[in-house]
Amino acid sequence: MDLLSLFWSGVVGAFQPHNFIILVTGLMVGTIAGALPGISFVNAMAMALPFTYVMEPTTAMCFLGGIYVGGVFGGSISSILINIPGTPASLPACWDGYPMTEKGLSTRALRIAITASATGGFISAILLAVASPPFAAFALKFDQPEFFAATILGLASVVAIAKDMPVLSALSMFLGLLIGTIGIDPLYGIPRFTFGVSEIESGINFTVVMIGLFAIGEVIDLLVKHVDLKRTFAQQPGKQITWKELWGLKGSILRGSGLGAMIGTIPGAGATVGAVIAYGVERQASGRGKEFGTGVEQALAAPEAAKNATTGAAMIPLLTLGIPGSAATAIMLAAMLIHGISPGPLLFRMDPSLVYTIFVSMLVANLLMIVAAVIVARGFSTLMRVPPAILGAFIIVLSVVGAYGVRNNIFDVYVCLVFGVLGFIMKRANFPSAPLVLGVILGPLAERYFLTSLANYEDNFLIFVQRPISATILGLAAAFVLWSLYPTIKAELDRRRGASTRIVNTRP
Amino acid sequence: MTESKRYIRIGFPLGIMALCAFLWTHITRNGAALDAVPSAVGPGGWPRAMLIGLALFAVLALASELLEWRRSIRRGDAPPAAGSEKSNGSELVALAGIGIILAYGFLIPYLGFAFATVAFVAVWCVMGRIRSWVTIAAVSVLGTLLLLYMFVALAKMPLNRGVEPINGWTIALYRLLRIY
Amino acid sequence: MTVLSRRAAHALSAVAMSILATGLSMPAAAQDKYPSRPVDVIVTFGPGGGADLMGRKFSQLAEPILGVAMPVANVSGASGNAGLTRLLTDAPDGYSVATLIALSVSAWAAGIGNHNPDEFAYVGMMQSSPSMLFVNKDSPFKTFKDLEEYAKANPGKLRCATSGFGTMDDITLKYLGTKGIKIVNVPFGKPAERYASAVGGHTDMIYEEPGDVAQFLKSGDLHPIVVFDDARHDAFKDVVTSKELGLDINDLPNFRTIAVSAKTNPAQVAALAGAAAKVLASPEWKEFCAGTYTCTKPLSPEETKATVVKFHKTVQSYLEKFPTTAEEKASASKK
Repeated sequence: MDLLSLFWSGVVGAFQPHNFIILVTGLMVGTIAGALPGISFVNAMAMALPFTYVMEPTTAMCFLGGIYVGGVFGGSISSILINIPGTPASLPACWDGYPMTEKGLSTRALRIAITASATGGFISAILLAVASPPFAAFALKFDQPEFFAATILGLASVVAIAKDMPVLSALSMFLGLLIGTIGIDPLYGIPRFTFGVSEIESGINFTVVMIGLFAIGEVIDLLVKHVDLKRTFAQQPGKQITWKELWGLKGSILRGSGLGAMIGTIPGAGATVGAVIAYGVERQASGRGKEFGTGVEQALAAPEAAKNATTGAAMIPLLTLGIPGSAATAIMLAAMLIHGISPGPLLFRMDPSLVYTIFVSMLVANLLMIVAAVIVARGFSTLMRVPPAILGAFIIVLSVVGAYGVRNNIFDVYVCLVFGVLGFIMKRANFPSAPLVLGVILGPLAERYFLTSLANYEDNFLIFVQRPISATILGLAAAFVLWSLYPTIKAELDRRRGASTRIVNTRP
Repeated sequence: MTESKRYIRIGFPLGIMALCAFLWTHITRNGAALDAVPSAVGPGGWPRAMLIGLALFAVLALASELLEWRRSIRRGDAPPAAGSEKSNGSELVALAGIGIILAYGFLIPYLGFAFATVAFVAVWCVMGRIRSWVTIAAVSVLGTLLLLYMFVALAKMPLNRGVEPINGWTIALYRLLRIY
Repeated sequence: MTVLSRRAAHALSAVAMSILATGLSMPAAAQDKYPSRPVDVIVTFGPGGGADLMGRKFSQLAEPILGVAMPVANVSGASGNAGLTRLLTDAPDGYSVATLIALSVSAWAAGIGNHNPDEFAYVGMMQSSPSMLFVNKDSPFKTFKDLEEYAKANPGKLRCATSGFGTMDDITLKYLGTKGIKIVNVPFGKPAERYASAVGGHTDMIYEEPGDVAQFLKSGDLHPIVVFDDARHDAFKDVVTSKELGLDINDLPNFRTIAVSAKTNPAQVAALAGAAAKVLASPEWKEFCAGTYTCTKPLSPEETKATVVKFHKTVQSYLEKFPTTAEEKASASKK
């Protein structure tokens, strides 16, 4: 099949009535969930997982894609209107979006945010559609050592991205890696860490861990904090923004989109990292750095564009290598595995219409997001009146159903609840939980690839650096780790040197 | 940083180190089986590497936490007074919430999904300071019915029906709802 | 809250009460006719595999025969034993059936899953097919003879993609090793990776049953060079059998049965077996089994059980001959 007919099959797939309706539903659900403080798009996707069990694989991916795109934006609505980030990725939107609301420019701020996000997301979806097929064709040449190297790159970047606390991230990640070894080993069938409990023999499923950490942990937190969401806010129409004025922000939007798309492809990074880095870069690039934080439009546009530009890009490693780089894409992986689909280079040959439907629906989702965002922003004050307790109760019930549905096993529900409690404790102590999840996901992959590589290449441990592609990827991983360690080491050295002159650490 | 948070951040790595030491000797129930596998790494190699990595970073995390603590004492940062932690009341709420969630999960196989869910949603709403009994009853019953149609009727998930006689009640309920 | 919703709440609680009331009297009435409510079909592996296809086809074709819905649930894990455990913990009332396949039985012999063939009653033998060795379309080996000569000249140079150690795949390779055909076992945990390695030429051959690689056979990416069976396979008349080659490893078929708990009422097992026989005789099933190369002659519940018991013993004796781990070596030497 040539490219055009493939693309056309994607258009047909995405615009099939049920797929399209589900995509729109997903967008609305995602935007609403994103806008509700305490519920992020990852929570929403984890909750939506049991619903995808009923759907066709294509429909399921449209649904999750819609929630992902909508949810990543939705958080900015509450950031701009009430100064509470709906999702962590929308934190930068508080810094310059809320000051605009204070000046009576909330509608203007929302419109800038929506336009920038949609543009970023659309560019990212184009990148996904254009870059993945050739990369998948290239990845067909990958043998086990290359896949091992790619998995290691994913793990390394999880730590490297968490620049403020690499040690804690690594600790959390290794805990996940250890959890990933529980159960029967992949080659010899010897049970590990099971202590004779037969249910553990099949291992701890990453979907279950993820639902527990991201959905249940959050709900306990929500119950405790008892955020008063009914806070009053004024949503004045303010000064509208014209197309011409929006065009004036094109530099910031494009910079943000480019950065976001680049960061999105790196496993381990995500919307939050993209938005924060784009904010920092924009501070340098816009020339108005000193005014940032007072409601500068460029400072709102760039991170908004970057945040949604990570969405499509993050799906590239998932679809082409079967290696999810973020919690959101890991949930997509779970939905595909439930339907017996294993993403990877073979998927592009075996089920191209599914792949192209995903491409087209991601493109469509970013356009329709504008409509969904406007509707949710209008109804925001009504939304804030939903009692969090009712919301929380159903999040937990859906989590339980979702965990149960992975293997139709009640034991998975227990595991999920235990991880929910762990997630709450980790959140309390500021321990990052995302590296743990990625450890659970990538660990078993890494082990399998490692052992199979050795079996296939006569127990040669050097095989990973002897093959050019795997050596390159491993080199990249090493560079990442060194780059991330540099500031920590430098700060420590500076501190040692500075201790004699008693320079007080002024970090907040 | 509050004191309780500090304890968690010191206790967590310590606990992990103890866990690693314990697990090192308990990778499988028969340790000899691991080493006899005719392979360079075998089923034990990867878990051991992970235990080493975990222990290493636990030591690092502990060290940096203790350093930070010492530094904050030297700087003379007064430890935050207990009163400033206004979370005293909510600690109880958190514990109660965790207890209810765990109880819900544990009771599903016995009470069946349908009845356990009605009970759980109702209790959770009470916990969440919803005082209107009508709202609680409507939300728990209607919500559960919706979920049953979604997941039992449509998705055909074999959700637990509970032990006898509750199994029979659940089947009767499903018949009444035209699910069966 | 308005008066209306208050009234609605009263109505709801009335409904709830009546449900409880009728519920208490229902179970007795429900036992008159079998089956009178949906029969759960537990597929003991994840979606997309051979067992899943079989379970879903069975449920689809048996639904009109039994006259009730037969929802399929995938309960995967521990080589199918998680699902079998689920079957045995469900009430043995005939409303839970499960797929029970050769892989799970061989896992029992290898010490995974604490089950034995006597815990189950068998509804019928649904599918069975021998395993084969397949090579890539670009492989220099066109026949098993080519491969045998190369392997004997270069012991340990050839690599075969398998599902793991201690499996039927492993037993077969070890047996070939005793005949001087030394092939390295390269285990892949995920079927998709196993197929990709053979199709991509990263391994020299793959041990698999033909139905699982049917799409690669049709596309020509893989082709069979030997079938481990007594007689040639109907669909591959030109592929040589292991028996013709003088190899004595023809007794490890990949069969798939439908089973219930042994405690199930015999009348209900008979009803299910009758339905299974009708399913097997249907043209839809014949088309399905031909497409997956798994057609087999129908067996009665007793014959099915005898087949499973014999297979279990066969695998046990092979594993004693070719122990994988120290634990097994120790137990083998004790005997």
